[in-house]
Amino acid sequence: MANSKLYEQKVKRLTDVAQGRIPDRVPICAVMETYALVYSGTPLQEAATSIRKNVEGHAKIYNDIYYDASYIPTLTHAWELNWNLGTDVYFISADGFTEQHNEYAPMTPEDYPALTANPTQWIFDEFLPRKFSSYDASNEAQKKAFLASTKDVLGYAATNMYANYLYKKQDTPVMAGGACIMPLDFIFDYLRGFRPTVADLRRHKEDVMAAVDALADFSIDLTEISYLFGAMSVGPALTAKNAARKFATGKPFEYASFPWVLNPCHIPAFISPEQFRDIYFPGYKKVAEHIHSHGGHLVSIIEGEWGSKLELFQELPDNSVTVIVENDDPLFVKKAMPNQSIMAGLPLETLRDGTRDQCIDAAKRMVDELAPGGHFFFSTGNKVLLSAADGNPENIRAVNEFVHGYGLYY
Amino acid sequence: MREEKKEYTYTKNPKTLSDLVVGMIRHGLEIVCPILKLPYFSKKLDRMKTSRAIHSMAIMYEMLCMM
Repeated sequence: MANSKLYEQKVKRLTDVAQGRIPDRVPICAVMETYALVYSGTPLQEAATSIRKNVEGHAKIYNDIYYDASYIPTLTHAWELNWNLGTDVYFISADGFTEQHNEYAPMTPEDYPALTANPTQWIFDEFLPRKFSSYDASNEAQKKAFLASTKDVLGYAATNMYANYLYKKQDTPVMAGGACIMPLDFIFDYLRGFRPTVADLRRHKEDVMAAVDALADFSIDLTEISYLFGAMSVGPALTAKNAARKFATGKPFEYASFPWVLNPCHIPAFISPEQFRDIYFPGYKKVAEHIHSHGGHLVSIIEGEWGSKLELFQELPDNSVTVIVENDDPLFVKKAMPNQSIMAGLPLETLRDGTRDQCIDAAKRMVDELAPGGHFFFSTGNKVLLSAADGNPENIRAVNEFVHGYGLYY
Repeated sequence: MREEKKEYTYTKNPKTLSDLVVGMIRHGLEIVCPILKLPYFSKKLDRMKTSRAIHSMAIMYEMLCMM
């Protein structure tokens, strides 16, 4: 399907900012997950079990409210795969729309050497059976579970294909073409969990550093595979070429200038600046530089407050990263990393409880302060929109229409 | 505080999960294309587990299971 003029115009606006050029106007990006389902009235249970409801339930808001880019096109997790393999890590909140997760991190400190020696094999042979009850079973039962799970894997791929088609059809570029998890966040989010990881940084520092180094290559591989599936909007030629590279020839992977790679960063807000510099950032830098040198662009959600840790981003190649600002002051972030771009929006409290005029006044101040010089994307809010309480849709509509008109560069 | 070590059933299996899955894929290929059972191809398939294709497929599966 050929891209419309409007779609191309939006993509140009987005890539202009990401690559350090001044765009025609400030791009407006959604930073929104299950809020889109609330808006369309699609309960999470239905979205998780129906390809059509998953994609259309997320896409509706972008048809009704002006955006230059959506955030993610569908649910981020493969819910049915997780349910069918037997884990309750992800579950639906009482409101029926918001997703939550239990922490389940079955790795022990003794596992670090094996993880470091071969992350792919350790995760397959040790992590999956510990996480999923269907795999913590005899070989015969494992065989049945694996065969049954291929249906859910194909369903996930089909969801991505339909999303790429529908979002293009309604002229909404999808920002996230792939997902990236930084090495220490892998350990924090999935393998060891919150408290054990923070303790490991003191008690098993050498083991953690070795694992972070090994996981950087794993992270690069995983990012490329996720981009292969998530960024079909780049067209069949590049997708086929990259599939051949990953599965057969081994030639270097090639990212498009759009869509980008989305990267939630979780642990930095909980570690010291020294731990960030010595343990987190080396892995981050290796992955970010790799994506940049292969034509891609990384969008990192800097969850919580990072403060002076952000100054290290100046070491990264110019225009290699955009950060989505949460609790930090956006102006401080922009000044701390003048060679990269930022994405920032209004506090959710303002979007939820403010009047239309208060929201527009706040948006005007933000554009006046942050747009000069480029390197700025306006986003829906200062947190990912998840539940109905995260924002009044009429305020969001008014703010986006205002910024689209007011945020002109020339 | 010592972390509690859980007893798992999978540790008693004769094959690891990756060996099991690679074996299933090989078996499927040999059914679709019986010529692969010939010694020449069989030797090549013995190295399948370390191939780029299997490595990428494993990461793809892990990605969906983890994230």
